[in-house]
Amino acid sequence: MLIIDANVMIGRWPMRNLKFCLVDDLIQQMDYHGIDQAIVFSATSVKHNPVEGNIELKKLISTHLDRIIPCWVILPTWELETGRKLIDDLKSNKAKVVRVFPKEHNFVLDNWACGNLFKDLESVRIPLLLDGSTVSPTQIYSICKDYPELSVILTKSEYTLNRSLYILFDLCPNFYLEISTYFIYCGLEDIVNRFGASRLIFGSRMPFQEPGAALTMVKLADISSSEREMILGRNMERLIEGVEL
Amino acid sequence: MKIKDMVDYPNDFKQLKIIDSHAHLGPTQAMYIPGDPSIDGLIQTMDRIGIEQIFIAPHIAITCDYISGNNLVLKAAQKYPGRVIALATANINYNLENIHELDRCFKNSIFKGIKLHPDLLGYSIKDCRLNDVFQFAADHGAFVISHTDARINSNHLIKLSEPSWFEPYLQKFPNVDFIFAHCGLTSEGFEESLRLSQLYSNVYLDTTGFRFSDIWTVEEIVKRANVRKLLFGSDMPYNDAGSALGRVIYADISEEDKCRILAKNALDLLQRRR
Repeated sequence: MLIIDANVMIGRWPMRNLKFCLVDDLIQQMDYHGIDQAIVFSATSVKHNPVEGNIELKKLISTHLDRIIPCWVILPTWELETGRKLIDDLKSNKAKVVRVFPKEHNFVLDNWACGNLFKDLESVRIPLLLDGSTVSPTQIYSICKDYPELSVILTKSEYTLNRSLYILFDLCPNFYLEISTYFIYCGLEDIVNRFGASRLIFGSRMPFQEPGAALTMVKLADISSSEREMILGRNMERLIEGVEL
Repeated sequence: MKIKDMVDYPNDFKQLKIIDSHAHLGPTQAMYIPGDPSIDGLIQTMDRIGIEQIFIAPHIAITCDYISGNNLVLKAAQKYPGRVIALATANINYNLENIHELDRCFKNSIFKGIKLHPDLLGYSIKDCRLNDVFQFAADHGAFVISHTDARINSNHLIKLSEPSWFEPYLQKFPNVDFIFAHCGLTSEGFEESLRLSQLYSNVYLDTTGFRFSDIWTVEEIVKRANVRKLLFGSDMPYNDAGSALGRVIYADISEEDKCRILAKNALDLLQRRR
């Protein structure tokens, strides 16, 4: 069964000496948990600078490109390239997924500031990961509605917001949930029954959390084998295959 | 078969006779609970993934009406004898009535422990009225399980259940076992919980609520403290039991330690009580 972990970080996290920070340790954890591939961003991109962090990521994972898919952290401004040049950079660096950290990088996620960026991302169908601690359900709704061909994946969701998340699922077909913090009782089963298994993406949030938690939640969920396969890897594989870079 | 490999054959979990030391019952105000949160729903989930017994304090007891909650768990335990370990919730904001309520509950041997939730019921662990509750626990052979949380409470804007605040009670009531639910939640709360568990033999820690700490707590506790003091908890029907189980079964610890955390430690705790 293909398992793709959509939410992994490598690098040195300043606030705490986490479980690991090196790529080799990540590969070891992936092997232990049976994870085939991981979508990885760098701590440096978040806590120091996206430009340097993305370059660092490229170097760190260069010998593991069969297992690790780079996730670039991007900005709406010209510090990173914008427009066609950004797309070319994503392509040449084999990035298949992008993230933004508006809180850490001090910009607003609204249309007037990020509209052009979202339009560029939408044009090449590259999925956008949004961290639930930095984005409101209202902002997610706006992005999903204004850019319907852009796949928006919410990570680190506050699961007590699930009443709002359900409405997002209902209104926005391009809204996806990465499950690494969505530990609600029968939560996966209910979303699968109401909205379909295609809306859920497996992620572990390593090295902050133990991957066994999200993995076991999917493995023990009361859903069919094909739905399990979709959540653990096929959904993310489909989104990556859809990237037009 | 290794315990982590049982995840692909969940029926095999049944042989471990897993005891879940932290659960609730019924709906809650904070969010929509998608599964059936009744005792029938919980038992169905337990049967499906191989959990034998479960400690329960209903949501209503820790969010609103503790007496209704105590009645609810009594009914649940009567309906499923041997599966439900009933916890009587205390609310010290009700002063004398609170002790009368504990007295009413503990006339029935179904109740084994006392549940505290300072953050939801709005009192502090520093409140000296808790001495009466702990004295009651000592007199009745009950253990105490309390929510612990090193964060500032969002409603009261102060901390209410910082783990270190238990220390005077741990000294004063050495015969009462205290379970620190969530190990203090944050990394600071975790370190404090761990310190107290190293110092006091009457401190237990449970495995719930890990996502706030950024620590792989199961491995960390086994490495740095006494594994006999760590209890598996799911926090159902708030949280998913599979994710809670996964943290233990995939942990890089011995098979023996996994069995201890999943069942044996809780069994030892129960056998020492009442």
